[in-house]
Amino acid sequence: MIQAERQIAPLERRFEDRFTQDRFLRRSAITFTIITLFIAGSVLVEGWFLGHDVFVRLFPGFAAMVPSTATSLAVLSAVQLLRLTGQDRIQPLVSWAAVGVAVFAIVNLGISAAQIGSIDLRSDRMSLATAFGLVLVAATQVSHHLGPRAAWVGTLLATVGLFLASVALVGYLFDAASLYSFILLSATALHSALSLFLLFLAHLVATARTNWLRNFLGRGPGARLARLLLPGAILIPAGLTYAAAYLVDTGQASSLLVRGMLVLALTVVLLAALVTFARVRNLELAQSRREILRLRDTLDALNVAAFVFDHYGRGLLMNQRAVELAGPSERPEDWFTDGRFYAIGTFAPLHGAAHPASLLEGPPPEDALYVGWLDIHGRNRSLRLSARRLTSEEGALDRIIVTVVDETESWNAKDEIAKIERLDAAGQITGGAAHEFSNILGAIQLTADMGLMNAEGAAREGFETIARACERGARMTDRLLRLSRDGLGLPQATDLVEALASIAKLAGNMMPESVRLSVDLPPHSHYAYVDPADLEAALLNLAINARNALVASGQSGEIRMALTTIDRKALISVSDDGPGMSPETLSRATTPFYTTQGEAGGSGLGLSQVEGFARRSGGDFDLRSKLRHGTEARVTLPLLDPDDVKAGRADPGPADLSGLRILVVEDDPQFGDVLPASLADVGADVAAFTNAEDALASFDPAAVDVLLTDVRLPGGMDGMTFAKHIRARAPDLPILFLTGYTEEGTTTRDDVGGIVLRKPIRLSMLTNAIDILRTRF
Amino acid sequence: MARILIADDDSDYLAAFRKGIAALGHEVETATGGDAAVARIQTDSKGFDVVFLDFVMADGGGLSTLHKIADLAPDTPIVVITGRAEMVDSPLFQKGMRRARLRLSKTTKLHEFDKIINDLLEIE
Repeated sequence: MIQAERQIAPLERRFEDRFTQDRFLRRSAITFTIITLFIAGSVLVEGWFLGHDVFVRLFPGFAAMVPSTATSLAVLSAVQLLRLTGQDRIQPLVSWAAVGVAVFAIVNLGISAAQIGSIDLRSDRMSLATAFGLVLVAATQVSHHLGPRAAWVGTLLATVGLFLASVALVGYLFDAASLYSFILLSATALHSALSLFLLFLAHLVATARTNWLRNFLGRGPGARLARLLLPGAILIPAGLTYAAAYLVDTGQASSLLVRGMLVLALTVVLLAALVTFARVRNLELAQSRREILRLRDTLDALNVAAFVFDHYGRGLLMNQRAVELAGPSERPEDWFTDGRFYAIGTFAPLHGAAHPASLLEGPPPEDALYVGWLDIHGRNRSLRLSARRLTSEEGALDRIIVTVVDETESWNAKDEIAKIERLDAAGQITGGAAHEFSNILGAIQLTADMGLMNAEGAAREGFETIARACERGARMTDRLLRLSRDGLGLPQATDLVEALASIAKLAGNMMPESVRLSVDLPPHSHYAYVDPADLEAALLNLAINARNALVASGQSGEIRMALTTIDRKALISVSDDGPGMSPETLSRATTPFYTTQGEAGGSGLGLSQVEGFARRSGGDFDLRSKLRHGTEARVTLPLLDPDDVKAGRADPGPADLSGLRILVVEDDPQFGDVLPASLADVGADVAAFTNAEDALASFDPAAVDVLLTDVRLPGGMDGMTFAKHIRARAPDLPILFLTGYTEEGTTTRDDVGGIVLRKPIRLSMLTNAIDILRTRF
Repeated sequence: MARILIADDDSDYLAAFRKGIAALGHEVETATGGDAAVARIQTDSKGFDVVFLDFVMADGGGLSTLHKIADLAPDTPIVVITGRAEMVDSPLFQKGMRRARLRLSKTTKLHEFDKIINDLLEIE
């Protein structure tokens, strides 16, 4: 971008580069100071020491620069030069020199003021104006000791000084003789005034970034205009006045008429400046409007919803997709604060940095934000939001651009859902199988036990063998169930450090002599919202995997369990220095029922359990391994705010549904039994049906606040058709669908709307979903 | 000697349970589902000392059966037996399960059943 601009207008653009500008300013300031030093030095050496009067007063009859003034100016120039070239070590000395000059000038000023009546106006001496000017220069130079916040003091002193020096210079320009008869300016040498002018200018130029001169810098249109008009602003009034004086002096026009013309000319010049200024401002505004429109055209072409906000989080524009997403709201920021957002997976309300509104304030997070959102049809969508803050070079024109991608239907999301579905399926199948096995093993067990009561000898031994086999079978089904816990557990704010310490102890008991287990934990508590039993199962699975890998390799080895925290995430790592995995094995490692330990009794559910746990807990699981270089399993979990945990805000639990009238249609025998009872537990008033026809027959729109129905129902009417009939009679009724893991689709049709929830369902997730659905947009 | 009712939809387990508990010297009545168990208690005149109830049965209604039996015979201890401990421990079920005296795994041994029955009878 900068490269291209340089090609268009090399000179002008190059000066707009900040670095070039700063170098130019510093060099100018140094040059001005050196000129002053040179003037003062010449007056002292060539003028007073060698006696050349031309150096002392420039022209015969002009006021002289006396040695005291020349010396003071030389010292102050030297001080300024040392400051500008950054000679920091002798700073105090330099400041004291400036103070010395100031004291000297004040004494001079005092003496002159005391004899003000008897001063010979034509005598060679330090003039009152020069002495005052020297005091101002010295004060300007020591003002930086007040610190950067008082930079305005130096600016004020230098500006006043610059103006006073200009008065003397302009006096010389127009009428030197009458300048000398004015008591304050009498005896002020031309080069004294010029030196003072240059010193003040040097200070202002050197600190231009912090004073009013900054308006001439930068690449803004204002600065450009100011630079353009600067020569005119200096030369035009002087030129006009000179022309007027010439006309009067040569008698071509009367003094009064010329004055009138001067007024007219200055007015015309000022008006021209005003018109130019207004035009630039208008062009600038039109330009920025055009830019915004062009930006919107560009954003409209994107396949994502984009919102643009200013520095304060006020909406500037939304692209077409954003309007489709958030609706044509007057203020885009309202969607961010009032939209019905929730945590994906749990339907829990969002707070703090997890809420989309946080994108509009403070520095935007590096990671994208994944949130659930209820659209205007009340359907649940999965959104990915990311924010970028654009800062202009001057740091003034901040823009926040938030892009929102609807991931609900995207390939990505489908893939994730398929993965989770597979895990759920694995869990359910295992759960069901374990139930069957329990029945079978229980029957064998009791029969064998009974045989043991009566049998003797060889028969008794046979029954004992059967009983032992049953015990093994019972342990096995137990373990299967533990490995495939299907997320029905109860998550709570869990201290990861404490949990890991006790899990490490458990894991340590399972290690053979050849395997060493080390644990690396931070000193303070870190909390995450997880099911502690799930966490324990996951980490034990990882430890067992590592152990089995090490034992199988036949070598001794080490397993390292570590907890570290990055930002607001916990990273739990279980690593070993064992044989590692080939890329093919690694790619299938988390697939349910995939195992390399078939003979050794591995269920193949270990890593898929870990992955399921990590995702259910809002985190992530990844496995890194290289053949012969060991394996590292990493579980990342979102951390809770410790203050929230202490204040008990971290455990949301089920939402309170007191007084809410819920119509439940569910035919599953287990679930249909428990669901109404659970909802009643949190205060809801439940009417339950096992098929759609009965529910529809007795439906009274005025007596139901929320409808909860299974998608698959017995009889002629499925859940979607049933909901469509209900919609016709109660257009605004919030609807929740329940669906099994094998069924298709995660969103509903436009004409029905409503949230789709997958079984198995936690009570807290269900009640949160109902709670968010009943708060109307 | 105690009078015991067991409700379970798995006929093999039901048979093994009946024979085993009978061998311990108790009198055992069986029901093949929740509704059958409730009907059995309603028509029974002698009263049961302990009721064993499989919580996860094909015709469902484990929780409502539990409530019905607890309402019909408030003094009779109810023991829930299940092959799916993790489901019964889930928060969805916990509240409703409070009316059961005990929860046992399906793979509980005969002598453990004996001890539990005797303990429950002593408390009565």
